[in-house]
Amino acid sequence: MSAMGTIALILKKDVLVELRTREVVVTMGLFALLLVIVFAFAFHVDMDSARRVTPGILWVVLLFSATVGLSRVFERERQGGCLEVLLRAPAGPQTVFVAKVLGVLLFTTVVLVVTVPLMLVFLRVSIPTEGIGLFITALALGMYGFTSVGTLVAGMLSSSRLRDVLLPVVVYPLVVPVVIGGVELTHVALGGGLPGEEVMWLKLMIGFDMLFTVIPVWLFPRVMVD
Amino acid sequence: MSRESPRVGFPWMAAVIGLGILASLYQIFWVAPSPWSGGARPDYLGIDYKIFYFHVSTAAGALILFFVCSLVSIGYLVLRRMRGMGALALRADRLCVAMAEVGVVFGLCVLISGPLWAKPAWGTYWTWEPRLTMALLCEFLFIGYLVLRSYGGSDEMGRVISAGVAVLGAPATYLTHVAVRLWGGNHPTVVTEGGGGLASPEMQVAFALSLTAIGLLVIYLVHGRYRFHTLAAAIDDLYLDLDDLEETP
Repeated sequence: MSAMGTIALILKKDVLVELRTREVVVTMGLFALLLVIVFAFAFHVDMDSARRVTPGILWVVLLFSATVGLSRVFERERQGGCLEVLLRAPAGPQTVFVAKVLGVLLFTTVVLVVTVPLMLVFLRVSIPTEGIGLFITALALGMYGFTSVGTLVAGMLSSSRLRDVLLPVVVYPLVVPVVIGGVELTHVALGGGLPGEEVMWLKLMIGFDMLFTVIPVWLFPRVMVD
Repeated sequence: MSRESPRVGFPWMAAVIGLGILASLYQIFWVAPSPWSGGARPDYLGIDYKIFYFHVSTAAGALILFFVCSLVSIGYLVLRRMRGMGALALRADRLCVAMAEVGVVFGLCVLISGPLWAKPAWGTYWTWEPRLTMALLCEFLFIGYLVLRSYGGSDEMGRVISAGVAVLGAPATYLTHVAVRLWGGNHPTVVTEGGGGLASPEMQVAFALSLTAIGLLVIYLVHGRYRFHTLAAAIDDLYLDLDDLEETP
């Protein structure tokens, strides 16, 4: 079977399981909204401070809720004991990685489409029309980088006993550059920041995303298969 | 598996390193002048400036350790799969742990000496400047690596997982090195452009001396930790043998 076929099959299986259980999307979405409420009170958001704290709150919420999703990526396969067999599929372990990244991205996008507008309502912030493109670009680049790193590390840790505790300990230091870039870009999209500043942060995020597209291709098969 | 015989370390190295550190301290405090010439000298270029020599030396040590640790981890992941290379792969893995341990300690030294020098020079203990941010991230990443080593299992899978994390440290370490040139910030570029105000030959001698002393200390400590892990692995093997013997009637 071709690589594309394998990817499509694994993705289809994950989507089917998700459609029947809804465990990832529901828990992620609920967790994200609860975090927004906690942060809205913790930072005492009023009209003045809202614009300044919104980028930070948004990205911390994304980071935390995506971690909830990532801790489930390989969980079903691990518990069923079929991860090793899946990785030995003729198309290669990389296809499993790509399929899992696409799956997480899909679920995260569904969660974001619902929760981000709600977050903006709760924080009483509106995005200026000219900033919407940049805002969505920042979200897409950030989520891709985070998902790629997170899926790689979640895969590595799937055989470890303390995987749920160790996942954020390892992932967060790695993704801080992309979070910094995302916060700064969101800040620009909301009408703040210096003119022309966004080019530097876009370069940082694109570079990060490219780097963590290449590294897993080499690393994933070597840490997953004995 | 053939056991490696625990070789005796080189205690004379400790004496050489001690003398080297004393010599560099002498050169730093008594011989090297302040980088400020003429006029009223600002306070931070007086005695405070002397921390520069060990700050840069330990920073270079920590960064090189982290980077080589990442490279050797790549080597471990490759060697592990090759026929007849199992023992060599295990050695590479032990070297990685030793380097990460020493690197984290040196990284802590950098993150303590840096703020002490930043307070008088920049007026603040901490600022989110590119190199500071990246250095802190590297430190956290390798602390995470050591946490993974301790709690993630000591079997083959644990070694592979932590090697994977160490490989991810390579770009972070490299970015720390080039952060000043890429994104600017308050740090001078000492290594490539000879910045940092090392104007006089006495100061260059002091810097070379401290760099050499710290470099030797790095090698000595890594060798010591490597020996420790070799012995620990040998003891583990002996326990396994003992269990086998007790099970045989």
